[in-house]
Amino acid sequence: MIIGCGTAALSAVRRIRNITTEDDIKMVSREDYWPYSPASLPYLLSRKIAKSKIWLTGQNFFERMNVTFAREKEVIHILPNNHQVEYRKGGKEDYDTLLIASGATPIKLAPIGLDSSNILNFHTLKDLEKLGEQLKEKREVVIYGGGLVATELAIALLERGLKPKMVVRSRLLRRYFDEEFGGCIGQILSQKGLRIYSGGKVLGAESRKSGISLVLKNGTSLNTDLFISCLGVKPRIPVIEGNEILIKDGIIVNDHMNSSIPGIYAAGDVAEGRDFFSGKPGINPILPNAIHQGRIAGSNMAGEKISDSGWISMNVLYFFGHHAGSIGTFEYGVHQPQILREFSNKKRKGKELIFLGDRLIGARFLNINLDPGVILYLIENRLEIGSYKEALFQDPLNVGRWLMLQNEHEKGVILKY
Amino acid sequence: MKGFYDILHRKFNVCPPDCSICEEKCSRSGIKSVHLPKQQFHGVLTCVQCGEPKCIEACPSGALKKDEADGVIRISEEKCFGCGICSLACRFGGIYIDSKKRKALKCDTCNGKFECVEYCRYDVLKVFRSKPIRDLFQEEEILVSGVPVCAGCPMEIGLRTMLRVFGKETVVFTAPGCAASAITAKGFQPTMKVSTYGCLMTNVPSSMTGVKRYFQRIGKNVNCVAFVGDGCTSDVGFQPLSGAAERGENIIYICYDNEAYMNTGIQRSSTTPLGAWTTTTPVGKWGGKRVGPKDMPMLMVWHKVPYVATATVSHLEDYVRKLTKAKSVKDGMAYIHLLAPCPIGWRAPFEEALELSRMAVETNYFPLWEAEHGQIRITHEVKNPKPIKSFIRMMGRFSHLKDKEIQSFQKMVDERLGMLKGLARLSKKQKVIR
Repeated sequence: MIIGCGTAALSAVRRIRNITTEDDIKMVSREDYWPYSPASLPYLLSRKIAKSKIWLTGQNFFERMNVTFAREKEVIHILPNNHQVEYRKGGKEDYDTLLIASGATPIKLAPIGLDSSNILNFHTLKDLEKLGEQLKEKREVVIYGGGLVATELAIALLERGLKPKMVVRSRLLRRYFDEEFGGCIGQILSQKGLRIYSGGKVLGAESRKSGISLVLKNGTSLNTDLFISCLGVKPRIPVIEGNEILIKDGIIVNDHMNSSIPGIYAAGDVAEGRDFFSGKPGINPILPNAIHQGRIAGSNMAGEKISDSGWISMNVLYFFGHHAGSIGTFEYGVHQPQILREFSNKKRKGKELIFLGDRLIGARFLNINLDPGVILYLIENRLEIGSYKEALFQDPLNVGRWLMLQNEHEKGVILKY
Repeated sequence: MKGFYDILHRKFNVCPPDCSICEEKCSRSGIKSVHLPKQQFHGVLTCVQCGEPKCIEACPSGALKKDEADGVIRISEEKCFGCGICSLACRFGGIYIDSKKRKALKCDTCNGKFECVEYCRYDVLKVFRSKPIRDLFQEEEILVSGVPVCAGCPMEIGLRTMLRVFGKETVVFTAPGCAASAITAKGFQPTMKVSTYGCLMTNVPSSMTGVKRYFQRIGKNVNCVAFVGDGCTSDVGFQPLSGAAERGENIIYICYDNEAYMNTGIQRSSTTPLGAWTTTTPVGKWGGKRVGPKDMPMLMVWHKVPYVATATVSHLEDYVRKLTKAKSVKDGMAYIHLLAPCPIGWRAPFEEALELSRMAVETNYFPLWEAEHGQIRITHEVKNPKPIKSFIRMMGRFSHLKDKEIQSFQKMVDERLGMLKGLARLSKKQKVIR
C-alpha cells in the first residue's frame, strides 16, 4: 500500500512495476483529484496552463501499472502491529508493506489575531481554487514568507498584472541564495511591481470590513485584502501507534528508505533521509528529491536492495526572461573551501562555484547559460575536477558537459590532469 | 515491439574542430556541439532517450512522455510551461530550456528521420536501426517468464532468443543438463508454448532424426531443434551427432557451451579449457585441466554439414542472424556453438556473465565465425584484441594461473586464431574444403 499519490509515490510505483508485475498495489490519496504536482500551481495561477493539462499521468496509467487508486481516503492512523491503516472517514485496511509518501503540509502561522478563514495557503489545488475565487474581486495581496513557493507565487501574481506585497522574515530565498544573489533577484522582481518588506515579522493583524491590516516587527503597518501564508512546509505524518518509529521532523529513514519499523517505508517530503554531504538526517522537500527517494523505496519494497547516496539541495527559477539556480551545499563547516565567484549587479549576472579539495560541492548562478543537471552530475558523482576548476568557472556550460561526457566515457577512471 | 528502438550513436571526441553543423541544422535545438580546444575535446551531446528517464518523473505537469512505439521521449507543447525542473533532473544534458519562450527543448529524433545524421559529413553520428533485427523476431514470446535456472545465466537468453526466431512451428529436444530444467521444468509445469522432447544424453540426434523424418513424410515444415550442453555434445552424445551429421539429417543442433558439466556440479568436459579448475581437475599438483579443449565447431566443419557457426549472447545481432541462416538450411544439419559463461562454475560474479561473453570475443578466446558448406568467414573481426589476461582475470577458475602460464595460454589463443584466419583466407580464395 502506498499513502499519497505525489511524485515520490508515482516514482515508487514505476520502479516496483519495473521489478515485479504480480504484487497488488493500492494507492490512497487524501484529495479528490488525479495526481498532480504542487509545483504546477503557480503556473496555473498565472494562466500559463489550463487546469485540464496539469495531471501527471494519463487516464490509463493506473490500469497499465495495475494499481488500485482510491481518492478521498486520508490515512490518519497506522497500526504497525496489526499491519493495518485507518481512514479518517472510518474503516480499516490491511497492508503487507507500506510506503508513506503523504507529502507535506503548510507550516501553521503562530496566532496573530486573524481567524483561519482570513489566512490563505498555497499548497493544494483546493487552496488555489479558493485563492482564484477571492482574486475575482480583491486586488491587494500580501504574501508572508520568502521561500521558493512564495517567490513563485509572487511571480505568478505579477504575471497576472497584480502588484503583490511580500513580507519576508529575513531575506528572499535564504535557503538557496546569499544576499547578493537574492538581492538581485529581489530587484528584478521589484521593477516588475513587487514590494518586498524584508526583516518584517508579522506581529499582529486585525480583520476589518475594508480588509486586513498588519503590523510588522519593524513598525510598518500594511493594509491588504488578502493574506497568504507561505512559510514553508512540514511533513504530514499520520499517527503511528506504538513508539518504535523514530520521528524527528520527518520519519527517519535508513539508506533503503526503511523507517525504524521493518515493512514501513517513507519517501519524499515526509521522509528524513541522509544529507549527501554531511550524512546527517534532514528533510529536503523538493521535487527531484522525491523522485530519488521514491525510486529507492520502490526498489527496496520490491525486494531489490538499493542504497541511497543522500539528498542534495537544488532548485532552478525562471522568471521574466531571467533564470537563476542553486545546486549543492554552501555549508562547509570547518573545512577550507575554494570559492570562485563573479557577480555583477549591473549586468544581472553572477556565478559562484564552491570546491572542497578537488571536488565541486555547490554552485549558484544567475543568468548564466549552463546545464543545471550536468553541474549536479559533477557534484553527485564526486568527480575530481582538479586543475579544471578555473576552466569550469569560465565556461560552465561546455566544460561541465565535457567533464560529464568524459566521465561517462571512461566510467570510473579518474581524469588525468 | 517494446524495447527495440532505433539508436543514435555518437562517436566520442572525434568531431572536427569548429564544425557544429548538426547543432545549426537541428530544428528542435536538440543536439549540442561542445568545442574545447584547450582540453582537446570536440564532441556532441544529445538526449539518449533513456530507459528510465528522470525528466518524465520530474515534470510537474506530465508534459513529457516516452512513446512506447519508438522509445522517444516527447514534450507536449501545450502542457509544458518551462519551469526547468527537467533540465535539473537530467544529469546528461539532454534537455534544455528556452528561457525567453519558457519552453523545454529536446531531441525527438525528427520522428525517426534523424536529420542531423544526414548533415554530418564526418561519420560522427550514426543511426542503428532496430528494424532489421525486429523483422527476424516473432511477436509471441514462447518461453514463459520465471525460468528455473541460476541467476545471471546467459543460456536462458540464448534459449529465449532462439525460440523468438524459430517461432511456434518448432519441437525442442533436450537432454539432461542445465537447459533441461528450463525446457521441461523438471516435469512440474510447462514453461514453453511448443512441444518439447526430453531425450537421453546418448540419443538426442537419433530421436530428432525420427521426429524430423516423420514431419517430412507428412509434408509439414517443422524445425527440430536440439538445445543441449557441451557434455552431451562433445562427450556422451558425440557418436550419434557425428552419425546424424554424416547422414545429412535436416536438424538444427545448438550446443550451449559452459565448458564443464555444470548441472551435476562442475566436472570437466572435453571442452573445458587448458588450466581451468573444475571439481575433477583440481588445482593441486597439476594446476587444473592438463589438456586443451576439443574444438567442437571446427570438428563439425570437417563433417561437411551445410552450416556451422559460433555465437554469444553478448553479440545478439550476430546470433540472431546465424539462427536465421540455420533455420533456412534445408539440405542437412545446422550446428551452432553458443558460448554460455557459467558464473557459478567459472567462479565469477552473477552480473558478469554478459561481460564475460563480450570479453571472450574481444580477446579472441572465442572468435565469432560461420562456415557455409565449409566456407569459413569471420563474422566479427576484433580490431584491437585485448590480452587474454583481461578475460582470465575476470573469473576464479583461472586464478591459480601464473604469468608464464597466461603467456602460453595467449600463445594457444593466437595459434587457434591464426589457423581460423588462415582457413578464412583460403575459403575466400577458392572453395578448397568442399
